[in-house]
Amino acid sequence: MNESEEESTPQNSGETVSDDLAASPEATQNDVRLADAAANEQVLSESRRYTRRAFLVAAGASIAAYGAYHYLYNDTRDLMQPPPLRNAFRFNADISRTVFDSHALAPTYPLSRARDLRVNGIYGLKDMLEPDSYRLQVVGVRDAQERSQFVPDVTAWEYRYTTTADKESAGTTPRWTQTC
Amino acid sequence: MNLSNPAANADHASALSSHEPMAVERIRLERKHPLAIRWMHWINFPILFTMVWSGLLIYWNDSDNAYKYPHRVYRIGIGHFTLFRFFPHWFYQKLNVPYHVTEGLGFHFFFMWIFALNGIAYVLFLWLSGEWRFLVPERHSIRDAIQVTLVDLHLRKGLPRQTKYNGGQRIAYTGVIVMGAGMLLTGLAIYKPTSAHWLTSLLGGYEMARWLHFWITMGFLGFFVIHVAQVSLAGWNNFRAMVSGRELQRVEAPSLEEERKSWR
Repeated sequence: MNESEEESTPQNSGETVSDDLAASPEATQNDVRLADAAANEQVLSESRRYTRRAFLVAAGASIAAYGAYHYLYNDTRDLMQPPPLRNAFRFNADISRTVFDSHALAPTYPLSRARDLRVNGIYGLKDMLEPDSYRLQVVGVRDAQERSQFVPDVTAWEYRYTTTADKESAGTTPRWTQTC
Repeated sequence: MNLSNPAANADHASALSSHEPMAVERIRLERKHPLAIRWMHWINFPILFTMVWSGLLIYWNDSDNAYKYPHRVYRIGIGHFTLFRFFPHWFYQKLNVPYHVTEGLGFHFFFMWIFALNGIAYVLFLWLSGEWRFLVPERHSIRDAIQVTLVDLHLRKGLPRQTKYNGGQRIAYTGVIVMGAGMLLTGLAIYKPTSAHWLTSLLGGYEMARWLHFWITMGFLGFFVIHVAQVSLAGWNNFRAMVSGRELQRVEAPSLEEERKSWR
């Protein structure tokens, strides 16, 4: 796959040979045939030269690809991913934060359109959480610290609970199941 | 998609000439595939398979549906009749697919960039070089494609006139470009269904985008099987041209270089 020496050999080298010979009266049919065969042989040898060179480049590229695979996928891990792949994750996340508005609201749909809702575990909380004390912190947004809602340590926030008589059932029944 | 051409056996053409006994058929070296197309073609081959493989690892996990057909959401069938479900357990076991989703995601979200950039570079090259003229289907391409298919199936004789590619090839090679673009769009719709919900909705919703992503992959695999079979049938001269760029041709065969000059 190398284009140098491209123009050094004319495409139809020897094309005119047979025409010249055919035109000359003393040329026999045999001479024409020999000249054509020689010209063809020249084309074939040129073809072989291109083929050799191209397949050498192809072999080199295959070895390089194999090396690249080993560079990508070896025993080192960054948060359980090969470092180049982890970097790609970070790069992708960075692009998402730049392209998409982190303040935008996700589209919502009426509950009637929901199908096969997945229950996220059946154990629930031991006590009922007071909704006012609930805090949710979204991680992964850019410059999270600069937002007013940011709490350095979410575990330090005090959640308030109301004790229920029947601890078995507290919080185990999602509210949507009552309306569906 | 007959990739063979009259000069496929040009190596032996000197010995076999029909009308004029003993005359030698002259051959020449055609510049068939530009260097850029060859590189992009061969880069795409391992990248596409990395995407298909890592996609399979993700599909196994992401179709771990607790309610119905875990790991086997897509199928071939009508109504209640199912012919085949993707994929049987022995298939997953054989390819060591289960529980490799993190690897799948890592590779998928890395190589998607190379797949996208290579594809965009390919389209730009086709456009700027004018090579798209060999590739984009023409009005008679559908008719030609049917005729070529019938010839391939030995149901009729006589190939339609063609330059670099026949009608079937024009449709197939343009089709895979459209499929590639479809993969990028459906992939983004699945990757960012909330942030890019407008795209996901445009594609018919998350499940529809997923379905499309899966079936275009199947389309790529179908293309691959037919492509490799046709290249095998067309022979060494044709295959080698995708590596060295040069193809041996009969002197009087229509010249691609002449056609390229006519565009300028």
